[in-house]
Amino acid sequence: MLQKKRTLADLQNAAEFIARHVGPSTEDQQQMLSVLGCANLQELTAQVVPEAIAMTEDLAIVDGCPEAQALAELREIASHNKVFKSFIGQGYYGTITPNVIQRNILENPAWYTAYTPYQPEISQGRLEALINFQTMISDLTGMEMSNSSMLDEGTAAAEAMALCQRMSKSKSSRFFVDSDCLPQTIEVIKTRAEPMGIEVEVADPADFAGEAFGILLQYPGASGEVRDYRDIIGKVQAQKGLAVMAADILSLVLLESPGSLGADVAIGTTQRFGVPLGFGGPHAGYMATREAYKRNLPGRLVGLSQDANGNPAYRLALQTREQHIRREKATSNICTAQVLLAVIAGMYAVYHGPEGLQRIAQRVHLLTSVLAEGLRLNGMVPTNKHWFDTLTLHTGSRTDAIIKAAAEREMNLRQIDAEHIGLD
Amino acid sequence: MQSTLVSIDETTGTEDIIALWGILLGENSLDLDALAAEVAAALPDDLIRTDGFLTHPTFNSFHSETEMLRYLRKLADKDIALDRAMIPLGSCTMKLNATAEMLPITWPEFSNMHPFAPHDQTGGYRAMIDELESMLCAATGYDAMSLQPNAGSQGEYAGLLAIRGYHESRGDTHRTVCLIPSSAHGTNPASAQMCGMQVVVTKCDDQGNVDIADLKEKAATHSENLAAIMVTYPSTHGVFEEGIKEICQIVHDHGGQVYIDGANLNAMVGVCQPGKFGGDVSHLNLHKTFCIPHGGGGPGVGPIGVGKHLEPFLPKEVEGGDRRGAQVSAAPFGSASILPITWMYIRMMGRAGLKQATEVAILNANYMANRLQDHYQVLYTGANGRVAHECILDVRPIKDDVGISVDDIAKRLIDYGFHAPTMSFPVSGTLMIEPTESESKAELDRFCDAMIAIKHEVNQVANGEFQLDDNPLVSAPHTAAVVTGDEWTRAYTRSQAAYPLDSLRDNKYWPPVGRLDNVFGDRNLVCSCPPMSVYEN
Repeated sequence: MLQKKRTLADLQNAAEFIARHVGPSTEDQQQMLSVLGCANLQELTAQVVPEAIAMTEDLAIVDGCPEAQALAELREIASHNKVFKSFIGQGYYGTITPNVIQRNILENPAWYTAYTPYQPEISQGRLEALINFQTMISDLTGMEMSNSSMLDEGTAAAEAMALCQRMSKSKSSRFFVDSDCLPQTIEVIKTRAEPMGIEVEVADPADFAGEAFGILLQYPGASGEVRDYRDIIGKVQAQKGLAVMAADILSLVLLESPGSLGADVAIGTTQRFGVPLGFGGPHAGYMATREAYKRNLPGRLVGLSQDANGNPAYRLALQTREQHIRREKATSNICTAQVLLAVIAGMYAVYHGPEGLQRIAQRVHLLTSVLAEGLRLNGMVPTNKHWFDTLTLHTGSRTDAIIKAAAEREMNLRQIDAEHIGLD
Repeated sequence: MQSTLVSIDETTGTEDIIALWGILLGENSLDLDALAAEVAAALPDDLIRTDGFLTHPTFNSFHSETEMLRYLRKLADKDIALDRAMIPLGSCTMKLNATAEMLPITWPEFSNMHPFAPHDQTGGYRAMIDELESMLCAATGYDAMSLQPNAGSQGEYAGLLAIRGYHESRGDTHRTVCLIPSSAHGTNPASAQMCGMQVVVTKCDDQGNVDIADLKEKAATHSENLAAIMVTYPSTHGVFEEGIKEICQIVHDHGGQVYIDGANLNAMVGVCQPGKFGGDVSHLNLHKTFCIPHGGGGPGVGPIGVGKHLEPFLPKEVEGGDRRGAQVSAAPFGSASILPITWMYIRMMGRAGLKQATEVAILNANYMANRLQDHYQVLYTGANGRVAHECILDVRPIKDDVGISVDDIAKRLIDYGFHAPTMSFPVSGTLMIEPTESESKAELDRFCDAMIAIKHEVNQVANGEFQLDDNPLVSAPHTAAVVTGDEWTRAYTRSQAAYPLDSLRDNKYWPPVGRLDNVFGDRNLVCSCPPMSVYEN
């Protein structure tokens, strides 16, 4: 090959990535353009984009750079994050992503570049992974069926509220929300309720009275308390309302399931099943319910069917429920869900199995109980009588000093002004 | 009364418990091992779980790393993703998800951050988010951007809520009518409905463009109560409508806001800006235009860009901030940990690369339309006979004349190793193809060769060589078990079934199952792992 002399600027190859991202080479582009009878890209673009709206100036974005430089710049930005050990909880927990899952799913293009499984014949792998997720959720929640993920716990709660309104025989427009729900869940519920004309009441479920088409109960509560909701669920259902339980997925390994307590819907997040915190997302939320409500379950649902040869095969079930068919009659606009994260969470359960999950849950619970006992022996008694993994401590005027001492050891605790979340 | 809460998780170690005692109690003489030996469980007695769970063999078979590794490989091998072939789904923009873009999401600085960590610990995230918001504003021509919506549908919802908040702030609470052209994606009317808006559908003309006369009439009829129009640009039919500025003007004249659905933004970056030609708000799909991978159906990110007047109505991120709209996602910045993917893409491409990406996306689509136009009818084109970044092939004449359906063609593509294009959207009985800029000419040609070979097979049915009930199309896709079966009584050969093009002999994808029976599954609903007995026989 004849070596031609090139300038340093040329050899630096600053536009390297552009040619990696754009498929056709310059020569191929020229050939394709000539097929279309165009001299260059600009000419073709001018034939396509109406002149009245065409940009005449360059984008106000800096010039591109090679991969290594972009990574170095982002590394520098990332270094301004200080990752402390988190004891904040509130719906988001530290978790260990099994390395075999990180490398072979999260970092594997065979999983992350796939599309939604609308063409089931070429999607059997991810459909099986999703039915594992659904099985995991329906088993742990004790519900008859689960969908294949929700966007997050907050939107799952809002969708559950909408499901209750459609399915309950109550005429009430009131939705009752446990004041021990996660604050961000309450926010998202209020967002959804307002345009729908739903009146949201946030209070202690022990005070539930009057009529409501549904109730949302947090299990265990944001305070860490573990309450037996059987009576309240019975009371809500007696006046034709439906009961939703927002349940922590790991706690369900040790606790009676929402289904066995009589709940109509269970929602939550599976983040702590191997999905990194990631500053809040993405994580797979979940929703499970009774089979009777299957046509009102939002989001995607994987089911077993058979192929033309009579062999078992998976595909998305009951698609006529979805917004692309029902349009303005649709009750939910959910389209994209959190498949990759649901696959990871489901595989976390496959990898650990029921005994492994039990070990993890029991260890979390034992460490919490040891922490509580040590505090109690020294006169600091948690305000919650029961707990799975969270303790509320009345630290009063010492609170700021405690938070500061923790930060010095690179640990984050959660601080609340009790009045704000309706505790005593 | 102030309280402190402490949550323990899988990552907590015994040393952390000791550290917590130190922080909360100061000096102490606690013995962790002794306490652990005697402490009682703190769950209420009548809430202790007694029933079993995850008893299915799948949850009890893959506990060694070797078994797990192979199970994951076995499942991945059944699927087609971008690591095997182009996925030409119209409206989905299945472009490259570059490795360099993906690397940062597992950096501990990004992946291990709690969403409610104190402000002074999250400087890196905030800087990256600020830069990304500016980049996306520059790309779209909007003044402000919210990254909170964690899916395109959430973006639509947040965008309409911003419009609703704006009208309410001006005392126009009666402005609740949302105009939506009949060609819109189904999420548009669904989102409008969720925001308490009344949907009024406007007509499209024969070319698939918004019928401006009908729009004028409906905007006038609902002038008093007009909240918004939701319009996709370029249209869902894959065309840059000439009338877009007029459409925006009509709605503005009647006091409405213009929502431009950004599903097709991949045709616009660097060549036109929705925030400049009339849009008040748009959602972007970072999982389309800006390289976040589809993940098999999520995660997505659906940020919304808005004009200055709508910024106060963007979703609230922090208490007391400038943005005071309702919170739509649980976390303040939605799917924050995958935002580095988009940051990396824009940083590496720069102004020239982003524009080139759009231009080549348009080139690729027009090249394919050109190669396929002698074999299939291209349904819609713009003023100069060009398509935008995608094109619709009308296969209804094939169904009418020959009896071969859009489904048959889609499933036959699997035998050729391809994921089908988008089927029956936005027009029933059609295929919508979007190649994106990332596919090389060789791959475009491979796909076109497959489509042309399939048309040849259609012709073989049309001219009577094959019967309508016995041909490679209606029986597609063909599994290895079927092709290698001891009995073969079909009118076509085994090699035509599996290797209709010679190039497939080098690289063959075998579908694990034949064509799905949807009705059977819906009649016999099973939504959890089936017992192993269904696999017997």
